Amino acid sequence: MILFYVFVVLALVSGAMVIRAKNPVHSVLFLILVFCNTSGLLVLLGLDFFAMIFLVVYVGAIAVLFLFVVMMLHIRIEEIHENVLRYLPVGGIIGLIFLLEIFLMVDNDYIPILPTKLSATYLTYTVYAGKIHSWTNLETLGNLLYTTYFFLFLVSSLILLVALIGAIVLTMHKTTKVKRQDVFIQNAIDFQNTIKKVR
Amino acid sequence: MYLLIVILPLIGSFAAGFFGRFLGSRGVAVVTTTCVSLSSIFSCIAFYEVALCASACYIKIAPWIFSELFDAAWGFLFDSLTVILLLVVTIVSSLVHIYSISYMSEDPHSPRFFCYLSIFTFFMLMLVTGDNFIQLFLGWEGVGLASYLLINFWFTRIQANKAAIKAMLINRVGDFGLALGIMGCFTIFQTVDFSTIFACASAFSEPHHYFLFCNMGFHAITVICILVFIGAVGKSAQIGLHTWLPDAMEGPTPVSALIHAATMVTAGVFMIARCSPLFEYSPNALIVITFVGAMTSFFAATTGILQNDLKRVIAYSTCSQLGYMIFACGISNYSVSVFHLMNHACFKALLFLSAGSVIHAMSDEQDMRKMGGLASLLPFTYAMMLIGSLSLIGFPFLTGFYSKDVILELAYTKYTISGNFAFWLGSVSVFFTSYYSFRLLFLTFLAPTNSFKRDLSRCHDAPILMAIPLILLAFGSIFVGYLAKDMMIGLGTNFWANSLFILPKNEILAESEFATPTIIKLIPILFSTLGSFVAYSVNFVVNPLIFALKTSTFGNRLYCFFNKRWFFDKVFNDFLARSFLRFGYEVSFKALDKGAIEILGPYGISYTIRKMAQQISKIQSGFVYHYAFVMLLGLTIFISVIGLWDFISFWVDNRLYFIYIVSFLFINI
Amino acid sequence: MFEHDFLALFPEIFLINATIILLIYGVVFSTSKKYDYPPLVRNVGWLGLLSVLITILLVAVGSPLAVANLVYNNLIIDNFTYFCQIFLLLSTASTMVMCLDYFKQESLNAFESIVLILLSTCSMLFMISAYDLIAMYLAIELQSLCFYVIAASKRDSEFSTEAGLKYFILGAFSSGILLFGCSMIYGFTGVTNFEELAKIFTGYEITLFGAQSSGIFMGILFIAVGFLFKITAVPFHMWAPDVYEGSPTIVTAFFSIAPKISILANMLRVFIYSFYDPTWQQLFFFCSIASMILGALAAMAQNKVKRLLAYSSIGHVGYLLIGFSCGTIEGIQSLLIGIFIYVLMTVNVFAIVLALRQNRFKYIADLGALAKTNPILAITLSITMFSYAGIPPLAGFCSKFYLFFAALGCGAYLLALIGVVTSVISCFYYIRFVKIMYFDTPKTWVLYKPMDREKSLLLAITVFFITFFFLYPSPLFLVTHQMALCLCL
Repeated sequence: MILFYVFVVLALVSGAMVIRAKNPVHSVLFLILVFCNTSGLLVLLGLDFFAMIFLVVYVGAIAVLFLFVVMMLHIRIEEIHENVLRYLPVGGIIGLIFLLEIFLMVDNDYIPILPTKLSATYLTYTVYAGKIHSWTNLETLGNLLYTTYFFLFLVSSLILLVALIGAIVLTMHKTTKVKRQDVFIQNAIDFQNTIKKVR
Repeated sequence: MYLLIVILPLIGSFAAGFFGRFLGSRGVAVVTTTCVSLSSIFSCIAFYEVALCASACYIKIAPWIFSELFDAAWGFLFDSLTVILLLVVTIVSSLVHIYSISYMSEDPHSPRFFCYLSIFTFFMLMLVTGDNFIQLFLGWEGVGLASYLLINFWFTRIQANKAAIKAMLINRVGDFGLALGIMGCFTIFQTVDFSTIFACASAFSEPHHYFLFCNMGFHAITVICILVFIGAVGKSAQIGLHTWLPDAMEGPTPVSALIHAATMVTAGVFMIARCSPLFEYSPNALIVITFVGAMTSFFAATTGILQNDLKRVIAYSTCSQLGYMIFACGISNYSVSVFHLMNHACFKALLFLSAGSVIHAMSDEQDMRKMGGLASLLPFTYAMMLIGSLSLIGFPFLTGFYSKDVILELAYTKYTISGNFAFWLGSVSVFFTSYYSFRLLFLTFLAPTNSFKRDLSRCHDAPILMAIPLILLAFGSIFVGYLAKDMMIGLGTNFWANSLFILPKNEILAESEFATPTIIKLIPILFSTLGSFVAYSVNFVVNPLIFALKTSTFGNRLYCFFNKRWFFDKVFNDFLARSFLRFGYEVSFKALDKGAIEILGPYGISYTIRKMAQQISKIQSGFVYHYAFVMLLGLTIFISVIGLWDFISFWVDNRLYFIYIVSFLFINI
Repeated sequence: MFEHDFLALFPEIFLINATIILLIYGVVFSTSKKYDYPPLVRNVGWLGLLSVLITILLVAVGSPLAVANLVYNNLIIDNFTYFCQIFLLLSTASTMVMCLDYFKQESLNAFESIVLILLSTCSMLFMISAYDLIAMYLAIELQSLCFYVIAASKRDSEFSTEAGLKYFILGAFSSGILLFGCSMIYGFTGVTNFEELAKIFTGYEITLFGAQSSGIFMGILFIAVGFLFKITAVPFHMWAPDVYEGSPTIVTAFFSIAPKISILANMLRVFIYSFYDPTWQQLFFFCSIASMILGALAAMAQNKVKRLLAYSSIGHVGYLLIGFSCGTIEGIQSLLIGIFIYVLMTVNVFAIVLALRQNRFKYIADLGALAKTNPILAITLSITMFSYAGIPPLAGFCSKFYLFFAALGCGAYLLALIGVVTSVISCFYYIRFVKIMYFDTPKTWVLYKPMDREKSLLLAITVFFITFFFLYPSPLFLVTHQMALCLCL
């Protein structure tokens, strides 16, 4: 139980610090902290596979990408210094009201930790974790994702394709004057002809 | 055929109005006169059928307004009262048409004149033949309109403009009363149909039918009758709303003859006679009518004795005779009143038309003091004028005698306060009537000449087209009274069949015929001879006593008082007209129309919306975090408003928004 | 167990395959030195158009009467989806027809734009037939992602980059809210399928303070907010003017036309089929009123064409939401009619905007004296503007009339009243177009080159339809009635 609160508090604080940090690199590092704490929460929920995937994908790929970009953009620390206090009153009040309403709702302790309870008002749905016993997370995931829910899987793959195309469309220079590396030509250079004696 | 009577003048008017350019002046005259003459021939036939053969005719043509409870149809009702008036209106109208052919022959706008004359005739016919209040009101308003058009015929003349507007406005006041009366009728009787109303009138005359006003209950039928009578006051120029009649002499003389002698001014009398079943059940209204009629006749007669314009004298004489008719109705003798109406039409039209002949002969000179000695120059006209005047003052056995004297005897035998009041005032006006009639004759025809030589040298008697109507009317003035007396006001006549209703307790004809003391019966004769002597001595014979009387201060003041019509005009102008004008300009124009309504309306809205548009388009600041903030704000508001609506709806009221919007409009300006 | 589903999904499968083949074709040939790096945009464009038309054929041929739940209840095909998909594909085809000439003018050689447009079309097909919260979310994400990219695709213009960036950030925000809502619904009910949700919610009262239903309430609200962002309703519309103005014009055209159809179709299914409750009705009331008012007012102060069209589309969404918030069958039918006519008018307007772009058409005042230089185009634009303003007997009036009629029929008098008032206000700036065309003289006279044949065909068809719709509206009415019925039963 106490671990839950530890992870939650750390995650919230790191999240706040992501916004508040002046140095962008610090922001990214705090973001990594958020991911780590979230993956800890997932472990607490009993989803081992997801926690690992969180670490691998989010921290290993996404946060590293962020770091690369932040370090390539030469952001001076003074540039992003702004007067936060100007927005504090109104924004703070709206945020507080919002959070209050969320808490009003969340106060009902109805988020099921494990979907094993069957209540009379609910229709029955398949509880996989109960029927098929002692399958690991990974096996469960594989059994479902590629058979029953393959459609969602394919659509997600299309999303990734779009991301790929988008990156290329937005950033790649395709004009003929751009110098580009062509590995085959590089490998097929005839060394004898690279240097000529003129005089 | 009955419908033709009503429609023919309309057709003539259309032809004249829209095709006058093609038909030309002569053609228009021929067309309209033919139409109206045909109409008069048909109305003679109708008179024979309906009145003499006692078969009234009810025609329902088409529905007009049908809305649940309130329905008014186009319908015509021809009964004895109607056909008498039809006869009067159409015959006088056709005679006036013939007269105008020659009177307006040099006027380039004569097609328009004939068009207006015919449309007036049409509306008057609609008025008298209507079988419900709405159709009567249509005719009522129509004759008001036609009279405006006709008085304002020479519209480039400022005096004519003013007179026409005055006539219209004062008529409007009367119409307002009439409209209120019709609405009151509808409230009580749930219908505006004459047949229904008159049949039910007795049932509603109980005191427990009343109107509530300012926490006081008024007897319903009395209120209706008084309101309707206000309409009659306006139209028939009774005291209070009379100021338009003398000024209406700005129109051409045929107009005066038609409208102000024979037809329009008698519309009020007709309406009271038509609504006799209603009036009979409210004695208070009858008393009011009697008083007003008597006062009018006295007032008009006293004013007429010192007027200088030829036509104005005759106009005041009309006003006075109308007072007679009205108080004759007030003493519940509607038949006598209508009889007097018919007679009066004859001799008043004769008087006006011959006055027109005089004016035409004197090259449009209208002031009596500048005429004189025309008896030898215009013998025919003089003869006509004399006949008309004698008939007017009630010379024995001419037309006027049969109706005027009966009215005075009836007033006496009513034996009530109002009846006595009317009798004495009526008798005094007989004196004044004779005085001014003879004054007119003396000053115009018999006195030594006062006119310019060039007028006299061009003076010519009436041409044949103007003479024919005069001759016909002269015959009428002499014989009609005797011929129709027994039919219309004789004892026990059933001429009126169902059209006039008199309560049995109000029947006094027999009493007046046989029980009046002889001295009372002779009073009118005595007064009229007295009046003629006074007129002779004052105006004809040169008398130093009279001269001194005239030039003294008392005489001066008396002259001014009577000449300025008892200062009615000045009182009205200063107290009523001025304050209304100021209100209209300051309050309703400046403060309301250009002020509040503009701000709540076009100007305010366009200004506010433009301002709002600019301000709203500034919300797009361009900063992403602003956008995100607005989204979050929206989300929060939705959650709170929709989720917590039960708590919030206690504090929020829809009507607050309305106040906010209106104040927003006003603040921005 | 899914063998039969592939037959029903054949149009989408075809479209995806065509897209991928075009992508490969484009990549291979445009970087080949042998063919001297040809610019393949128009080529790919025509081929893409062809594939869309074939997809239309495939959808139409598939039997429209069969109702099928596919892919383990993730997708559904019925009358509603049938007509919606055909309509969507037709509008996409017309948009692509419009944009072919644009590429030549702007020398925009990125053929990937066409590929992305095709991919987003495919995602919209999925969105229309989505039957599960997760499928819906994935389809929305696919579409949005394509749009983020093509909004920023004009790389030498700062405007375009800024537009793409703003769209991306705010879109991510709203997708987050949408997903949060979906997850809350799942958390409190345990199902994500629309049909199951519909069965759960019949007769279920949802308030903020109820024991179980508070979460459901929040979930519905968040989902609604996410959707409202996508169709640019107030107060979630702030991205629309900047993004519409900054993107390349064909992208703006596509934004105005296609997503509205698919997202409104999806919203219809989610809200009317699954969550039929007065909770979200107040929300849509308020959004509709606010959209109408803001669309009418803010557009009056605009000087630039694309921004004005953005605000006018916000206003129109307000009108469409009137039909939505009624919740009756007439409301839905009027919404569908409204979308149809709105798409027609928008296609028309953007075709004209693209046609006039050759010299200069950034500000409204550039339209001056169009009546003298190009009278037929002026008449066309006048007809369209009058139709937007809602002047009888053109098509726009019919759609607005039917929307207000539905609102009055279900007792939403305030909506109809505000709708009429804002219609009147918006008349001002629509007719200002006509006034500028006919009565203003620009400072420098602009000569317009004649437009290409595809756009002129498109203009002719749409103008004809707008003008003569009132003579024979019954096919549209029948079709939409059938769609509405099949949604509600």
